[in-house]
Amino acid sequence: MTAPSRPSSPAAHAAPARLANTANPATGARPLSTPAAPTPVPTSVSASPASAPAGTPTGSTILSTSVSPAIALVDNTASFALDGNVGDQPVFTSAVGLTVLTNLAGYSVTVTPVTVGGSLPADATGSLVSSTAPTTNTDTIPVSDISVEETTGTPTPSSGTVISPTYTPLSSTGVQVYSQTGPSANTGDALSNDYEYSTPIPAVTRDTYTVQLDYVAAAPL
Amino acid sequence: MRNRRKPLRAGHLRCGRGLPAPIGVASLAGALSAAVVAAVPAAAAPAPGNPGIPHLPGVGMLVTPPRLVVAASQVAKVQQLEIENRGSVRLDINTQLEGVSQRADGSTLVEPNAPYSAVNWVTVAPDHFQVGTGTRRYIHVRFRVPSNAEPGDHNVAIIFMEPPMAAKKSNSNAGQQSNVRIADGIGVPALITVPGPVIDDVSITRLKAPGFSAGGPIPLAATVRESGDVHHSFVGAGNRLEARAGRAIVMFPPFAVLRGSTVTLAAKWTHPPLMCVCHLTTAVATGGHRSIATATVVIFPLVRALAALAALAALVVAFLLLRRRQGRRLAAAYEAGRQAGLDDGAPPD
Repeated sequence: MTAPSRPSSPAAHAAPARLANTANPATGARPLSTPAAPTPVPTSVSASPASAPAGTPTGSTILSTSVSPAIALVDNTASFALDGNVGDQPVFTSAVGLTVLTNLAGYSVTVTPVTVGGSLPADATGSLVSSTAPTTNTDTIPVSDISVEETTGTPTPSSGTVISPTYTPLSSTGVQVYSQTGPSANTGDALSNDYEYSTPIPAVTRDTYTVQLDYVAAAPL
Repeated sequence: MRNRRKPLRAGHLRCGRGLPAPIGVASLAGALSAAVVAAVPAAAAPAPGNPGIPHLPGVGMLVTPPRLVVAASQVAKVQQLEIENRGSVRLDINTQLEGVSQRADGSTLVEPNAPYSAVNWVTVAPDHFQVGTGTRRYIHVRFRVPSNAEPGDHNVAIIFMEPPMAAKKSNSNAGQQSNVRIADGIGVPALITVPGPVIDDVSITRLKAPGFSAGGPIPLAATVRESGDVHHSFVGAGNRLEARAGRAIVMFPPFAVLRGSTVTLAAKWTHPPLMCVCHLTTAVATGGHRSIATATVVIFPLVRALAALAALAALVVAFLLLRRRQGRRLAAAYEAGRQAGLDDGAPPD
């Protein structure tokens, strides 16, 4: 299978920075649980009003910016095709690309397969099922037949730890594909994953078998 | 048909994956949800478009704060999360609740059967909502701790999930039917400390360092275990875990270790001395007791020493060669002079 070129990762922008206050524009109330903003650091002070002569108008302004802790995920991949004939082991490099931006001391990205149709026994959770006739075609492909890895050559931030440098089978309980202990790059960390069938496609009924992959980025605890 | 993760609905609270809560709890959760919405009706309204919010292709979601640490004294307070749409498409978000635990590297692991789960205690309002492009929305989170809850930390992950959407790009060849769909989400871990007598019993079990270094940065790894019933935070000035070797201090990344978890954190000693037998020490003190781990590194610039030896040897060889060459020249000059004397008719000996 020839992999199409991956869309260039959209550069994420800076974490939310607010001038003066982070009040809810709808209510005017500050977030209830947001940690107290750090003491604003004057970034431009041209003169102190206190030192100006009485009655003299001054043009001095103090600009302060408070930056909240935040995590952002940007993804422009809706889906990809990992198909082939019985016995094939298709590979799709750079199948999924996403960008994570955070000013926290680390984050992780987990992939969890979710079955999107069919009537399955409990142990088949996360399996690939027929997308055209899930009620009549009860064949399934175990999700563990599909493996994920970090795309070779993906720039890894200095503080990053690629959890799956080689192909790791998907699991219904989720697979952590990336983790790092430092903040992302200023424009976000561009991550990319390859997918492959780690075992030949089983002899299931001719059909299209579908699965949903939930990509979840999370801050450390 | 069974979807492993189902979105929350009013009056239906998920207990782990696919397990509905008992009806009494669900009804109460629904009532609480309604109460929260009624109490702050305007908070759920989307904010007007903000030109300062980036506009990126595809799904773009930002959440702040990215985690909730709710102290025992704050358990009854309503928490607020802000969701910002930085993408090019309208977000249609379902909220899911999952158990959460900690991996050995300190990262968050969403796990349905995680211990000390607070999944049944959480109400998110609204639990299904939209966020227009370039706007923000505020979501309220309330924790209802049962009266018989065990004192100490309980954990939950609040996941804001955007289902697969056609507006994003299909990464398939022309004519291919995509069979793997991608959904995106951000998980907000929450630590709730149930009031009561709690113990913070954190200890350092190991400090690992290479026994020998020939120079350059030295990798260190510290293993920390929390045996008490609350988490221990190594975040903030004065709280960070550090390794000391004489006057040198190596800081580990800020992190927290959950109750019952063992975490190994890595750090680099970027500027070690050129040569030493260095004794590294890491200490953690809490609850009146102190644990210490040590490691020893022998630093010797082997490559530099070998290079210096090689350079010295080269100098000696060059000196010897030069000396031999000089001797030959002198001998040749002497012989030439003697021969010239003979040719000038000097009387033979």
